[in-house]
Amino acid sequence: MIKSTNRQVFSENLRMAILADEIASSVRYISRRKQLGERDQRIIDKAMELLSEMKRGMEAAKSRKLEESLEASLAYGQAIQAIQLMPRTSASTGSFDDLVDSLSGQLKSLRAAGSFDVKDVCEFFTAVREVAMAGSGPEPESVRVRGVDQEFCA
Amino acid sequence: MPEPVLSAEQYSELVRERLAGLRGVLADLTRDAPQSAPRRFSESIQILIDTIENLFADRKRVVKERSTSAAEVTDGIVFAARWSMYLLNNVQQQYFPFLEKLNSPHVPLPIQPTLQRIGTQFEPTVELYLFPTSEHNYGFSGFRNVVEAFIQEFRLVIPDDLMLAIQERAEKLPRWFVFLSLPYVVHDSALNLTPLLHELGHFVDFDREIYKKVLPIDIAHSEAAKTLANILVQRGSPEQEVYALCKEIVRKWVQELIADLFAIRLAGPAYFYAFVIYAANIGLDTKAAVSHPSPVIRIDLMLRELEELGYFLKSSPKAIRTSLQEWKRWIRAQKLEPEDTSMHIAFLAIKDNSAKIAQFVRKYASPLPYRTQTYKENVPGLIADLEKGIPPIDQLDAQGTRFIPSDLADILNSAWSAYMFSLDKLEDLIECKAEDKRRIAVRTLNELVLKAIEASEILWKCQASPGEEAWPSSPE
Repeated sequence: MIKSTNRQVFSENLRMAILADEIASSVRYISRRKQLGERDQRIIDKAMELLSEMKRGMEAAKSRKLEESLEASLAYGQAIQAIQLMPRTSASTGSFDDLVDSLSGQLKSLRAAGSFDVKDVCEFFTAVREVAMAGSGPEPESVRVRGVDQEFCA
Repeated sequence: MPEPVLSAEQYSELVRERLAGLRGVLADLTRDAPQSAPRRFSESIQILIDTIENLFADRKRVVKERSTSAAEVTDGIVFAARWSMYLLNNVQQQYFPFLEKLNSPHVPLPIQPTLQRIGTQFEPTVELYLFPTSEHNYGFSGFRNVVEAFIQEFRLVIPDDLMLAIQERAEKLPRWFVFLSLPYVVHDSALNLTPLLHELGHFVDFDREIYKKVLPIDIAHSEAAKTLANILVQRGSPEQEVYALCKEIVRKWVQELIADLFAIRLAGPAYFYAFVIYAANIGLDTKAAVSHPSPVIRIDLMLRELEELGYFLKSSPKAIRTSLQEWKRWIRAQKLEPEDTSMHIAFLAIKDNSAKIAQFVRKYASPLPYRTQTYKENVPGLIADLEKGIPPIDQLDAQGTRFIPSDLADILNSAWSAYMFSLDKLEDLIECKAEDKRRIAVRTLNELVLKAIEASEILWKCQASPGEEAWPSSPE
């Protein structure tokens, strides 16, 4: 019996939460400084990668493709929930495709130092952070009982 | 962002308290641990705890540097505190149980050094531990690159200097920590320790990534499996769910079958007999689970592999050959297909790929296949020892000049052969009430075999020259 394999202290949810937090925080910081370092470029690339992953998850859900990774499906699910947490702006009220395109556009522009307007990107990834973090927590309590009549517990 | 009820300072204090608590427990658990305890595993946990502490401190610094308002600082620190606590909880939950056992009464496990030596043939730095539990099953728990895997997940948020400092500390840690669990009640029974070879097979599978060479198995490529899946869909099950469940079953079953094949190739009939006796306790039937194929599916595959190893040839020892032929007749009369449709689909998909699975195991996991010729050359002498009440520790070489320590597979095969076919000879040596004879003979057999495993391992170690492998390389 395999009780565990290659165990890690991370869950996919936590990986996403920390990543989304770092993206939101870094992008906000870049926008304030109005300058980009090498590390900032890496963060922007990671954010674009994450958006592509979400898009792949959406396409997999639409076409019911099984080959797509668990990460992509999870990322898409979290993105959908995050949109519901976002303030009702034009970015969050269009289709998922439109939103991802718009966020990717903002990131590309940021990378080229063309525009430092990253409000939607920050809001989106902050919302993703909250959704992912909410899915990470342990059970608050475990209750096990033996030899007790459970007839009235239904 | 909503204002948290607790302040950033209060959250930080919670993290500090948890860090101190975990360090205290870790110190308690390792302070009086025996020499054989997984000390470097404790060291890995210590590094993880230190890393989380350093990361939290660094995140607080970064948050303060990047923020322009008190609310932003609070939000950043509270979030970092939450994931730090989450990580510390997980460290406790996933790693500490393997240290808690250290304070249990000492359980002599003479087979451990031998399993460690075999594991080392696949990964030189592996540290392998045996882990008696109150569950009546065997298990594999593996941790690969504990610290490295952790910092890789964090690479985007971890500062370079901290990354280097952790990597330096982690440099000399083993690549794998492996814990093989066994029912506490059988810890002194060599016969019942044989299934640990299957658990060792899981380690080899994950280390060599044999399953990745076999998977994915596309259910749609098997006509019979696809037809059954379509029936489920027509009955109203969502197509995606049907395929996802079958895919999961296939993945798990493939890993179990790889471990079975590994154990068979390592120990031949000994593992087969150990498995069928263990399975008989649960039921030698077609009952499969999502996690495991049914015993009959596993027995069928093992018999095929034993055939490949020559155990059905006329030249094979008669007692073994006759017994295996009986099992083969029995399996032919069984229905292998599971009742559950999803499992039936998985079964059909795997059946079409069983030759491929066996080929990969033969290629990547078996340094020394235990063929019938090996059995014929090495085991009869050891059985003779056992029948006389002598632990089969070693044998004279062909020239009659040097004692060769017995190999684990030879010892286990002599034990199972004596148990299955000639226990009466050992019974005859025992003076006691007739009704107690068999029980005492089995206990004596186990004692002799455990003694042989322990002593032969010491001989292996004494005879292996420095730098020389105690186990020869694969002839295949």
